[in-house]
Amino acid sequence: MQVFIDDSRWIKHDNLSWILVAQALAILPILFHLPLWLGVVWLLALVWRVQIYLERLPFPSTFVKAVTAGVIVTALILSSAGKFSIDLLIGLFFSAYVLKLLEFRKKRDGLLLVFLGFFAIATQFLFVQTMLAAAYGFLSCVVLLAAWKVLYFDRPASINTKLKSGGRLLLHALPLMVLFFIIMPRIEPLWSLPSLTSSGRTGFGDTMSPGDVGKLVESSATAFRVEFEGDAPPKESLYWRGLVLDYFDGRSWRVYPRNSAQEQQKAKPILGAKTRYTVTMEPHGQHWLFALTEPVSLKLNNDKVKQDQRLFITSKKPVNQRVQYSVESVLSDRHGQRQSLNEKTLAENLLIPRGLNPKTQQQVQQWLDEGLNPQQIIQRALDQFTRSFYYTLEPALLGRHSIDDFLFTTQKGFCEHFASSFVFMMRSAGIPARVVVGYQGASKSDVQDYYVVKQSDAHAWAEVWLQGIGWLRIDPTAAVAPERVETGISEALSDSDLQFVGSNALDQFPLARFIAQHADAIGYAWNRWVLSYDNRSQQGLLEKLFGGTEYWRIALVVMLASFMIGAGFYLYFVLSNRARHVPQEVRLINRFIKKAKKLGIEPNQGETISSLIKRITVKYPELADPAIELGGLFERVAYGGENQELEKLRQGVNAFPVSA
Amino acid sequence: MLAKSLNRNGWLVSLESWWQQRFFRWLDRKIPKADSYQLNLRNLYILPTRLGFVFILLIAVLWVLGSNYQNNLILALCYLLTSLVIVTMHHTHANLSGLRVRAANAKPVFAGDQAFFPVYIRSQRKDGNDALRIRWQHGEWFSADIGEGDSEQIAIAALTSERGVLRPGRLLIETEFPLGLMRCWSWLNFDVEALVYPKPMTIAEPLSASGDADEAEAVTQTIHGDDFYGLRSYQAGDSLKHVAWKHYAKEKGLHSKDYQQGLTGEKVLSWDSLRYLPVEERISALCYLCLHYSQQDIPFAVMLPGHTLPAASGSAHREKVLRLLALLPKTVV
Repeated sequence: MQVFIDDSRWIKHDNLSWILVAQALAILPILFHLPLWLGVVWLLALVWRVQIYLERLPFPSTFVKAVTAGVIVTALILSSAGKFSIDLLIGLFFSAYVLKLLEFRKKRDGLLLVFLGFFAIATQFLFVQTMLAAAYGFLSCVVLLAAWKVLYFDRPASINTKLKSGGRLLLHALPLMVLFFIIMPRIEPLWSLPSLTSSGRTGFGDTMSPGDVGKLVESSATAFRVEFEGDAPPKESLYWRGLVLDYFDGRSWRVYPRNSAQEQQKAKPILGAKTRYTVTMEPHGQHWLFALTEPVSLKLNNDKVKQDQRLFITSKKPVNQRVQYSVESVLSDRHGQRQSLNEKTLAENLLIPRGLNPKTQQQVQQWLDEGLNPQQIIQRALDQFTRSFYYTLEPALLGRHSIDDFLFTTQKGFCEHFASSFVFMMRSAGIPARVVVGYQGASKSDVQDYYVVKQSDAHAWAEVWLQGIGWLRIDPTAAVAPERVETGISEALSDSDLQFVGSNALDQFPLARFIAQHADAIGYAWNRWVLSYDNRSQQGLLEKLFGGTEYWRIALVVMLASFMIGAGFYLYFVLSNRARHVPQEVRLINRFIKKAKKLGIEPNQGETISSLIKRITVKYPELADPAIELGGLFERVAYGGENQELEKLRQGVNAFPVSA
Repeated sequence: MLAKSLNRNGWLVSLESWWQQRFFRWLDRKIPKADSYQLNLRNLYILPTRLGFVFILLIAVLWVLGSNYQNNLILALCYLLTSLVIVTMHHTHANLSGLRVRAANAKPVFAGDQAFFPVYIRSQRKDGNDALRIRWQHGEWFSADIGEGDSEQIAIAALTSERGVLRPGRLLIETEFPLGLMRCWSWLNFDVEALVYPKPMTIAEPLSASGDADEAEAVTQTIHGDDFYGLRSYQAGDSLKHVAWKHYAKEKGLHSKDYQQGLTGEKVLSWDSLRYLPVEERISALCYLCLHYSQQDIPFAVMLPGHTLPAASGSAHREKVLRLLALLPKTVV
């Protein structure tokens, strides 16, 4: 089979469909994150290109292309409200990528479309990083490679064969990729990039109004996962402390902004047994992190972590990606013992809006008049909750004096109502107090040794400051519905309320539950070992595998691994494909050369058989005929592929004399 | 023949050819001339193509993107593509490695035509060898796919420009299979040649074709013998008497009546009879006459500087004469 090289670099028609399909697969996932009209732009470009193929439409003129590009860019900039964001960049990339279809004439354009396809797959990972997304990305890569190969070396073959050849290349590349993934050091970001505008992320905001926590509880999304070193502490002590809300405006609680000077005055951590655990946080788009009281050290890879006097922990960058951090906590319901509050802090934690909730204030005043000490006042307030309050997700609406309404009229509420009114009462009584929000509890995964904290575990409680004790955690909800804290929210709520709590309806079926649990475990392993694999986990893994992270060890391992992989490839390609065996005619001719040596004719370096034979004929004219015949036979077998002559060659070589 | 490769102008080309010369000189020392080769690590070279470098650039961009967003999936994609480049390198190399290549002499051709050298390629690879591209140093590309264990014979053309012995230089065999990211190639130095006959130059038969000017009259009569044989297109120098005017009047073109020549007259290809032509043109003219006579089966003798052949006809004689003409030294007195 011999053809002249076809130098026309114009795209063939059947190659077009490969490119179109590969592109469609690569951009489909991004499409969900872009304005709908960009999808329409793509479809129009696609239809136009197909019409060109059917020769019903010409390629667009430069003018048309310029106008189209201009309109799209303007529309993109307008829809991003002039803000420079990664979404805008992705939109621009997407439109350039789909409009390239209208310029797709030659092989070169096709290659560009394939290359940008890989870029599109990477873009898709900016949005979604699940295992499914990774698998989808890999499959898109297979199709892109098949399209690429078709473009480069077009062979008539079935679609299946073409896909297989692309997949085979990628499968060969996989082991090396895993090695690279494990050993390549991760670097710090080179420069900060615009972050993705997060949409629909659940989590706490920096204010708490009545109903906010209740809304969170309706979500079954995972807030974070925890892996404890050693045994997990009892459930009732799992208070995942998040935000400290110390400013009340009569309706909402919010974080009181602090200046940095005060952040320095951190109290000495308390002593005690440390609980170590690793938290894998789902992105919530905010800065704060959650930990058990009292965190004594918190390590978050790469990012600076700040912890202020209130033990309010924030990372420098918002949590837009899944992050993992490890914490050491001394479990306690109190902290800041040896610290005395300065005046400003004292004032802040006693501040209540003027003229609101007179009834509550009146009641507290009554307690004070009775001469109760702070501990007794706290007990009195909690007793009040225990007596006649009702824990529900559907609290009645509250009026202007929200605390009064709750305490004396509706008496139905959720944790935030209890925490909020409790703190208000404490402050009225001159006891410094504040609201803390976070999560309470965790449910153990059936499959692996980790715990899941869901949004439905969201909780609000209170902290009061007592001389000699420090900040003491008081959970008024526990007074109303102790089951909430001991077993979890599902137990604490009535059945009618339960329908609001985020949970999977399928949970009732054992099989569905099993699958859900395993899916969660696999997802967790994926997050922990793939998505969160960073310098720290790398170090840990390398230490575990090779007993250290010194450079010489790594270098040794890399060398060993490259050698093994290289040897593997060598065996695979060279031994299996190339010379599985030395061809028979070559072995025969080597025997012939040996015989020639015995005749005193040493073959020279690089000498050809024909020249050797020529020398034999000169030296031993009587052997000329059999020698020339052998030479001819060899050439016919070796290059003419006339294998039927092999037997003759064998006989000839065998019959060739070793002495003249 | 160099014109094709030199049509890009400037120093870059001269640098390239200088480099290639140096490379070949080095190669000559490393791989001696042979008439068959097995392609292996010693005679194969591999480097990324321009496309390969563009792809590596793409990988670098992905790496920066992945690092900046600390996105492990993008980094994984980036490592996957990096591994792909490395794997491709092996695939490309394996596509040539193990091939047995042999070249043979080409059949003689006339200068200006292409000399087709048979090149035998034998695959020993399970998957066969795809998308091979082959050319002589100064020749056109040919492509081939070879199935498993197959042996292919491909005629690879080399351009000829002047008479003599053509050594086609090195044979370039290369492949970019499977993705065009890597180019693996080998320059094989085959000890093959082709005899290049002079380019025939149409000329009127000199009067002294029979060797003696005095017999010119008689010769003319003999050449155009009495037996009408057929028409051939008019050539400058044909006698106007022999033009087929009736044919011309019918607008069928200018033709000469050709007459069957008797086997009696002995023709001589005489070097001296064309003294008025420069050497190379004279050789071309003699070549034409040789073909002319042979075609009509007229025996002719040859009188060339240093060579004289008695009159004969037949293809063996023709080949002998053409060979003599092809190998005449450039500076003949």
